[in-house]
Amino acid sequence: MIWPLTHILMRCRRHSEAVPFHPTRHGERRRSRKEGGAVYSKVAFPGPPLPLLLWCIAGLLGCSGGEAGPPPAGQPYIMALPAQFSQPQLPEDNPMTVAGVELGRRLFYDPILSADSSRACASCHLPERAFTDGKAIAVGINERPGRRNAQSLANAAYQHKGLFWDGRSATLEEQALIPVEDPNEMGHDWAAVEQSLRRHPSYPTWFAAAFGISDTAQITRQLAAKALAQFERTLISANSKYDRVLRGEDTFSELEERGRHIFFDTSEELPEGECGHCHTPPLFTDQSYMNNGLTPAPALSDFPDKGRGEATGHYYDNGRFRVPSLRNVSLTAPYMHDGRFATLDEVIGHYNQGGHPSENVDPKIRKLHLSDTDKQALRAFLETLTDSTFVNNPGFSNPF
Amino acid sequence: MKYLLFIVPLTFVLLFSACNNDDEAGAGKADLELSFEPITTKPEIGQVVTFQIKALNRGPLAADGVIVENTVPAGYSQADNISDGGVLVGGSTVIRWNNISLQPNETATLSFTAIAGEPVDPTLFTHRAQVIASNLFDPDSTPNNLEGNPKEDDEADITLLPRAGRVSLNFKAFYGPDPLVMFDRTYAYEDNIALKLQLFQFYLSKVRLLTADSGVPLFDVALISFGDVYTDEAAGQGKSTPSFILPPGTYTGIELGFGLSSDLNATIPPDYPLGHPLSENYWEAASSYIFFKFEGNADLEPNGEFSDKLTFHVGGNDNYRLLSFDKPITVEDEKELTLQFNIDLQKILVDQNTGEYLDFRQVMQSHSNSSPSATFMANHVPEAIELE
Repeated sequence: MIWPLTHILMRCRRHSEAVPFHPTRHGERRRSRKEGGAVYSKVAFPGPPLPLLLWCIAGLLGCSGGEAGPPPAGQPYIMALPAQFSQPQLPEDNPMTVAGVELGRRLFYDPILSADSSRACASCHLPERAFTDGKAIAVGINERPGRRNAQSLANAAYQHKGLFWDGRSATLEEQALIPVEDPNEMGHDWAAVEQSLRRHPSYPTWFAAAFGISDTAQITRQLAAKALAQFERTLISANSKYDRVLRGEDTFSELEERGRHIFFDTSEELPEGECGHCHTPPLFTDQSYMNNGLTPAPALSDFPDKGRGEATGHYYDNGRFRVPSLRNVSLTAPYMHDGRFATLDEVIGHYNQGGHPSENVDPKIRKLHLSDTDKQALRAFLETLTDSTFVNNPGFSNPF
Repeated sequence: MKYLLFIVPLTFVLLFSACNNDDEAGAGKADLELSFEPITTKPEIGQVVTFQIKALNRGPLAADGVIVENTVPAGYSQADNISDGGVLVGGSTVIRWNNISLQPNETATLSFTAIAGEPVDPTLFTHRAQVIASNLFDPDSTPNNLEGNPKEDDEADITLLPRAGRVSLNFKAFYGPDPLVMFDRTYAYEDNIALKLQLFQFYLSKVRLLTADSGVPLFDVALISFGDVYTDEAAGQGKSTPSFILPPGTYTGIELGFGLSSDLNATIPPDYPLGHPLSENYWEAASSYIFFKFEGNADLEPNGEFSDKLTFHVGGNDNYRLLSFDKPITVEDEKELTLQFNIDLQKILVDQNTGEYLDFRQVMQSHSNSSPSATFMANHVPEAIELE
């Protein structure tokens, strides 16, 4: 399907605070040129916002060995929202500012959050791997293995049905608090982190610029989590080849087009890959939790990792995991919640076999009867979801 | 949602009234009091309400430079027809009358109109009036101190909630006589087939209560999903829409769309924020939302393994069904009414008159706007839904 041109262009919010939704009745059209004081304009694709870019450039030009100070306090962060995405739910109590985003970026890359100053958020979420780590299971301080595969943070702002593989955190602000005190991740405690941040030579200035606080005692884990969440919300990926094709700026190869048809079940002549039901565009996830037949389980209590069931307590949620986005999927190996598949070919092979039986395996998991050419085509299409402008975005890189 | 606009004005009286505290008013003073005297306490939603203010100075001296303000609550809109040179200030939420002169025992009449809105939040329907300034001392009141002070006699407020009830829809799903439960129940199907379900969901759209000659919209769209109904108890509770405000009255029935009306189906998820029912369940390839889904497993052998996977997704304007249920429905002021619907999945899959059924030995999946199975199911939806 070719998207209407009006939905291909990007929209850019030129207003201060975090997206002020104005509840309207179901069904009302939400896109408007002007809505409750928020004005949109359209840009080619999202990148670093102009104020942030200018601030970064100013910092570089003015740098003579020292680091740039924080951006001006209160300067709103202009979030460039892809037009083909639904509007994200942004919390009213954490409006995005240039200083807040930049503070979040520094905290994201700073091992100060870990007990032995060896691990940062970025240790498991590397930009060049679309904010994953290339490991089957994430590794924490002292080389302690975690429980699950590190998930990509691409388009984290749009995740509104829970975070983590089991969805146990409702918001990025909640999520950001957890790894610091997980003994298999950063192994620290927030009280100590707060003390470190308060005594730090520069963080008090950054927190003041980001949140308007006047006393270092006001630096709290909640503000640190808010800053991290602000930075994570900027990690928008919407400029892959797939997006460029939809915008009419590129074309799929024959193999990619074949893969697209298999992915979306849109050809009478080709087998149906059933992928698009759950990996729904434009985010390439419907954000649901499902059992995709990875592990045979005679009873649902048999799953070694109960996944969603751990968070909800529902027996029939055991063995279900979050459907991950496939954007940048060629960069996020290994795959699945336990990283059991090293390559996309292994993933496609799993789905082609129809998975292992258990009571709550999703009915859409079935033998696909893909030929070798079909598999290659499917992989070729998945590779079109790589967004190099996203992984190379200087606004997302290590600031230190 | 739109409501009929009632244009018959009602009158409320705001009085500066002569009370029996004359003894407190001394020389160099003018005692000003405010009070509302409503003629009615219940306007209709959408009604243009006229507020008439009669102002009386209890004396003993003439008061000049009296300023009166009335704060129009958010529940009322379009303040207009302001008398005596009154003006809107404060972002059009405050009406101010400047330089009122009142002789002892003189009454001044001030008025304006405003339109009563839907009482979504009952706290937003209170008008608050007060004296802002006067050239003379008021022995028992301080002008312009409405916030945070005990009520004085130069202040007045009144809450005028429009007449409104709330209506929600609750759907209970069944398979024949049995409650529809995911995973935990086995259902006997035709031709010695057994079923276990994992998902049943559908959109409702353009729901309205009917009147003799028209109807009043209730809501535009809702998504009803039974995917997390794992027990008979949960099935017994059903799935409810939010409750919506309607003018009280007796309606002749209810109309609802199963699926999405063509105008809604012409929209796309980016038109809606995440979390809105229409931000998901969209087929790009078919330019349509998926109106309803039915997923589960069949035991075709039968050997008890339920290894045959069923996924039926139906969309497309041709499969939208507008259903009407004729039954008197009384919506009462300040009360919530739940309309109880039952939907029987068996009646969607099996024609109750001819015995014709969707043969899972022939087709186990359909993701289509136009397949025979999609059309079959859509055609049987009207028989599958009943209003208790």
